[in-house]
Amino acid sequence: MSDALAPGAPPPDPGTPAQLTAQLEGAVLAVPGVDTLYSAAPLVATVVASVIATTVEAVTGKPRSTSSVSVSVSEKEGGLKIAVKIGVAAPFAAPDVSRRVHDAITDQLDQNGNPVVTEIAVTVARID
Amino acid sequence: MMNPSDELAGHTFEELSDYLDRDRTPADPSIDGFPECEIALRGMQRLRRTQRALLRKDVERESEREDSWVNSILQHINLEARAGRDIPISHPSPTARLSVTEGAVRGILRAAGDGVPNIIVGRCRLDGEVSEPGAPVTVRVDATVLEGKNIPPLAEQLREALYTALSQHTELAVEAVDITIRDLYQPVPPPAKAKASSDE
Amino acid sequence: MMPTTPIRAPLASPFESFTDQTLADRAADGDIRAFEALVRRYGPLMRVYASRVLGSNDEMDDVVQESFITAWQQLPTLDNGAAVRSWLMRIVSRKSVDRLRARRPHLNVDLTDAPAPESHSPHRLAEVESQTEALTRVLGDLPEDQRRCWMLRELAECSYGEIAEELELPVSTVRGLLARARKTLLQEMEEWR
Repeated sequence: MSDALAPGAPPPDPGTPAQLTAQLEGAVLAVPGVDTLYSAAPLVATVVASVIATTVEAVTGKPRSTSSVSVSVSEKEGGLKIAVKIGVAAPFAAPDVSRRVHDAITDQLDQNGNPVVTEIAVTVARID
Repeated sequence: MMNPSDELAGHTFEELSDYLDRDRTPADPSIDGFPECEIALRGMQRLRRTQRALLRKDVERESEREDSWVNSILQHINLEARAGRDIPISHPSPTARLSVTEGAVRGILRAAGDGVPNIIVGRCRLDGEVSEPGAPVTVRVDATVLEGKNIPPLAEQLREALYTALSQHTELAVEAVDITIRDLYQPVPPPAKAKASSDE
Repeated sequence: MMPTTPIRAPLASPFESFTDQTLADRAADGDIRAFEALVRRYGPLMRVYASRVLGSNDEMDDVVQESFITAWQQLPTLDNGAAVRSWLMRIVSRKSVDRLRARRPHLNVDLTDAPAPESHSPHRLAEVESQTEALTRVLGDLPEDQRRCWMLRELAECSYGEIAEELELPVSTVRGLLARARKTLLQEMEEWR
């Protein structure tokens, strides 16, 4: 993450991975038309929430307090991969909402020290 | 009364059992009217009536149970099993990967159909390489129409609604919307009223 | 647990009036509300079926829940949505029998304490048991293949062909098993009266 920062400038605090996911969650949910943020983990797996929490800990090195992860942050080809799955309220058009969610994520990442990003995936899983 | 070794007018018990399951049609004159056969058939019918009365009673009792078991089933099913393919949505950024799932698109097709009165959408299919931007796609939808309604204008109304939903929520290059009217459905009395009176 | 106050299902859903085929097709496509309508329509019958096989209500919830989870997974493979009722009943039949087999060792232990079969006179049973219990008990005394055939036919209303497919038996065998089950039940029933 640190190699994404401009040399010389004092790095803004990127926060812990848990803080980052929480901030991204907030940013995504604030986008008009987003009515649900689905767990990044398969829905049936929520039954084994403790296992997921452990996995997150192994990946990020930080324990998470919540048991479900709705924004997935992982490493991909030397940068960050962010993935979210959303439900859209029908009066809004799914393409517009998904683009705004993407842009809300990049805005949030800018505030978190503008890390190298290799992929931002936004999946509209439901429209109603 | 019933003795397994009884003569059944030359028939086996199995033949009579089979005859019962065919609703005694076509009528078999070598069975009908023979007292031994009638006794066996009536016995089987009585057994069936008893079993059905018990079943009805038990099913009714089960139907009146509280709803928690329904919710517990619904909570355990995996919605992602129906996500289907990812249908891309464009974005200028090279790192953006935006998509709407095939399952979500089927959902809006059904919802669009539900907005058209007197027609009910069943299965929805997206034929074509939906994962490739710009690839031609044919949408195939099954529907049933209320008996007595004029089908062509209803189908046209549905087609319009489906096109509108598709262009609002996807970037699919829809070549055609094929609607198959599979069946007619009967009008039903409003269920809320019928049930409410039985509750009083 | 709360005392059982019957709460009626919410009636607002237009899905309740949809045909089996429409509900099955929509559920196969991922329509959760259509699936819910199927759960409400056939869940009670499936629960009764499971309790008839298992002889108790204790495991009924689990068996029916497992059946619907399987149904949700496999619905896209159901070719004829109009046949969803017997298809669901076949699933619950299978799951119930699996459950019964899993606990058979315990069942055998219990049976050694129970009175020998010939000692329970059907007349006495009719006095102390409800008809449902008596029927369940008589069914329980049938050989398993006969019992499964009879239940698939009379409770699940499966066709001979469907039963044959489910039990992996020729239709002629199904016919024979069904006739034998009926004959035995009929004899028992005469004695209930």
